[in-house]
Amino acid sequence: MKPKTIKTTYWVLVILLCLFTTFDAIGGITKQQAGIDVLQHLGYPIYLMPLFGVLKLLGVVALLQPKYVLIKEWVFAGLAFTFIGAFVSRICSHDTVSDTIVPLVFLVYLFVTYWFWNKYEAVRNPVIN
Amino acid sequence: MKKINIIYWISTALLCLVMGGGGIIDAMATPDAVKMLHDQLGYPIYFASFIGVAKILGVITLLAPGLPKLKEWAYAGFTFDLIGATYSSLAIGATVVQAAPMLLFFAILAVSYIYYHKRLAAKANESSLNPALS
Repeated sequence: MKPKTIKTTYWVLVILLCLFTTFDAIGGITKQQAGIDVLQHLGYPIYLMPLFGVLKLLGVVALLQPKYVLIKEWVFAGLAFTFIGAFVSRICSHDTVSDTIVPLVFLVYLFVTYWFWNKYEAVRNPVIN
Repeated sequence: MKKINIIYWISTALLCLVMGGGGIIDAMATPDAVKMLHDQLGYPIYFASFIGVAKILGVITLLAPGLPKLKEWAYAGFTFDLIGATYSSLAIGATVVQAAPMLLFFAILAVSYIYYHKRLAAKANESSLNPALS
């Protein structure tokens, strides 16, 4: 793949990820009813919403800043854990197949972004990689 | 290098004991684990097994040789776990003093993580000085 293709694809994927995560985070911090309903249905305490919201916003900042690379690894890890957690929680709550598959779709999107991010860093800094 | 190794292994062994021990108790969803996670903190009962298995996988990852990317994910996971646990106990009304022991776990985790990276850097340095070792 050409370096330019890698860079463009990475930025499109990561900006969409950040947009989605920001909307999700703001919904959590402002305790939107839709989020409360899902948490109650899955059996989690509502007090988690602002924590998850703030952590997700910090994650978006970490993904968009160019200086610290390792912290991005932590953001991908954190997002992967939440999607895996959501998927397992859907299964344990005996939800419909479509509700259960949604977090898996996000997980696949995340891993595609992660893959392009690794390629992107290799292109950006060929000495380290 | 010797000092780095000693501090790394002591802190990592402690971390694995804390996370592994807690992980096994959670994974088995013992009455104590369910009482704390479900009755007190308000998490679903199935969450005990989930977080327990996750912690055990994290411990295996830290103790396995190599796997630098996965180890980074394990340290991240343990950090998020401790943040979540501390935040949750404060949210249900624990006082700062009651939650203070969590600082000890954060300290163990931080020392293990810092010395994990010092060790990686020292190893990279050694092998660049003496290519026969790499």
